[in-house]
Amino acid sequence: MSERRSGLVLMALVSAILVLGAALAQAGLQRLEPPSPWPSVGLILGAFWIGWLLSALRGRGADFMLFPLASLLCSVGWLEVYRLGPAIGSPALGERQALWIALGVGVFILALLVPGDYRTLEDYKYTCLLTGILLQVAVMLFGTEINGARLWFEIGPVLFQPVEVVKILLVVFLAAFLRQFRHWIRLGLLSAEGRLPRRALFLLGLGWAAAEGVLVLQKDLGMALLLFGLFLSMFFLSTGRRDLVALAAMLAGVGSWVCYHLFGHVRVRVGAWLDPFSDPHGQGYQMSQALYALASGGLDGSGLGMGRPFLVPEAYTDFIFVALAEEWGMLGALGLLMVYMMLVTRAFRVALAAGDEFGTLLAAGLATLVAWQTLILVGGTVQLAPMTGITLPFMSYGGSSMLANFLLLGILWRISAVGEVSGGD
Amino acid sequence: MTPEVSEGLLYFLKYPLLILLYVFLACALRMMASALPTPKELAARQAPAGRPAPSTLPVRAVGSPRTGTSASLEAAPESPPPPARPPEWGRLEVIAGMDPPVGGIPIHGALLFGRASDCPVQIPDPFVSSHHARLVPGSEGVVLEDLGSRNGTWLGPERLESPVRLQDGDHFAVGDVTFRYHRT
Repeated sequence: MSERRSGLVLMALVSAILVLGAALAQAGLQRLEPPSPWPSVGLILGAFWIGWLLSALRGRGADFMLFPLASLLCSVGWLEVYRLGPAIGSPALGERQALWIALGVGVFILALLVPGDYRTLEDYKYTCLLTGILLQVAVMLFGTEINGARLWFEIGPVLFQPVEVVKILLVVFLAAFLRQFRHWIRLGLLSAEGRLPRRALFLLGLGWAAAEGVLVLQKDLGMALLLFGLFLSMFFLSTGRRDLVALAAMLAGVGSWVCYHLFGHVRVRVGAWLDPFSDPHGQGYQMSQALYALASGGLDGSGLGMGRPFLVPEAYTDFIFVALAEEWGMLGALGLLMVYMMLVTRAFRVALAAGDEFGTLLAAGLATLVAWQTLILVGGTVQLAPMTGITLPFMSYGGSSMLANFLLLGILWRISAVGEVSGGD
Repeated sequence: MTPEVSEGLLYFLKYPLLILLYVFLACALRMMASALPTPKELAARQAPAGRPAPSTLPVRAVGSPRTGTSASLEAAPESPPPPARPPEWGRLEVIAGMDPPVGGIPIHGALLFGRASDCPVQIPDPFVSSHHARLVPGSEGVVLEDLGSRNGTWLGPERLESPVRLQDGDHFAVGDVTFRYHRT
């Protein structure tokens, strides 16, 4: 089967799932008189097929599975968001999410069509770092406060969450920086010269300080975990230095211990994680509701629109995985995790096939970003890790994260297109 | 207003949706599996045998084509044994990236480093260009020159911008392989 036909089969299946799911969700919600899902479904399908056609026509040899896998995640996520909208009193949620998906595909198409070479990104590494830091500081100072955290800018009618863009900027910076100094880090330390690995230690210290800073100043545990995980993964991928990674992980352990004892909000989070039922109506409310939802979903779920995932606070963003597990059951939830696994595997494949070191590091960094984010978030919702407020890539409701994730997908696609073309030199 | 659908029917209609999801998974997994190399292809990739080695080949690196870190350096089966006369221009010691050959790589004349099979020092690493760098002995000593490689040749921590005369004990890196130069 040619790659184009394979992609076509996957896209057809995605469309079928979306259409059948929308019909079921509408029927399941009939008592709430939900808005018709069909305009949104039409918009999403139109965007998907245009995006897929363009990527299939333009990219000979580019990765053909990235886009279908991401569109499946989007479809399933949209079904849950649409289904939750009427139940939590904002029936337009589905329509807005459909618009964000369409805009996200637009960003993907833009990333395909921009002329030039992704390698020019390498020349802007310090610009990326600076922009990222500025955005983070600006949102800390001037952001809008929601639920006690300053993580958003209010721009007209929409909320913009700069963290989503900062993550990608950080990956670009790390890929370029490590590409440049990788040899240095590898050669100069604990080697015959007996020099201290100054640059490596500086870099690791920077990552550690950034993660702890986010944790302390922004009270954003999820972002801190994500930043540090990303940092260590990329450092290890480019240098292969186990000893330094272990050292940094130990430092992080010490940092977490200190934070736990110094800051109340960290203690509250950890307490709600370890023992949600000690305070089921207060701090442990969200977690215990999530556990009830997971339990009532069982193996095959309640059926779309038939469960009560709206009882979990924030079910349409942070806890969308729980809503999914309740209505699609463990079977559906594990299936979705497999899709994430395949997406990450394909991204690593792009990294291995990339013709140059920067491309390899960039693709591998983006892959680890998706992997860590999924791991931290899903772990947080099933009580394997402290609960955190980051989004599930391609599924959670939210414009910033949708656009940023499609940008990430577009960059991966560009790397794969170049990698295949120049592989034969 | 859509017609009323009974809850019992809806309960069972969730199964077609789950089945569709798993059909998608099965298709995607099969496509991913078929894109993987077969064991035969993998074996062919790891041992690029069959090509007779050029007679000038004193050493050649064979090994994992991806990482290069586990590459081993061994005499090609068809190549004649290294000449016994002492090297006129010193030798290179391999200090990282591949298993070093006994006694290092003697420098009898110009040495080419790269991924291509006509390079006396062949490094099968995707980050190494086909013709990556060369060592040219002259009256002034041994000069290391980068041949416009994409990822550069590194003398210590610095990327080589122009040809450089090597000093005794200098080390340089081509891809993941690091060499040390000995004048004797």
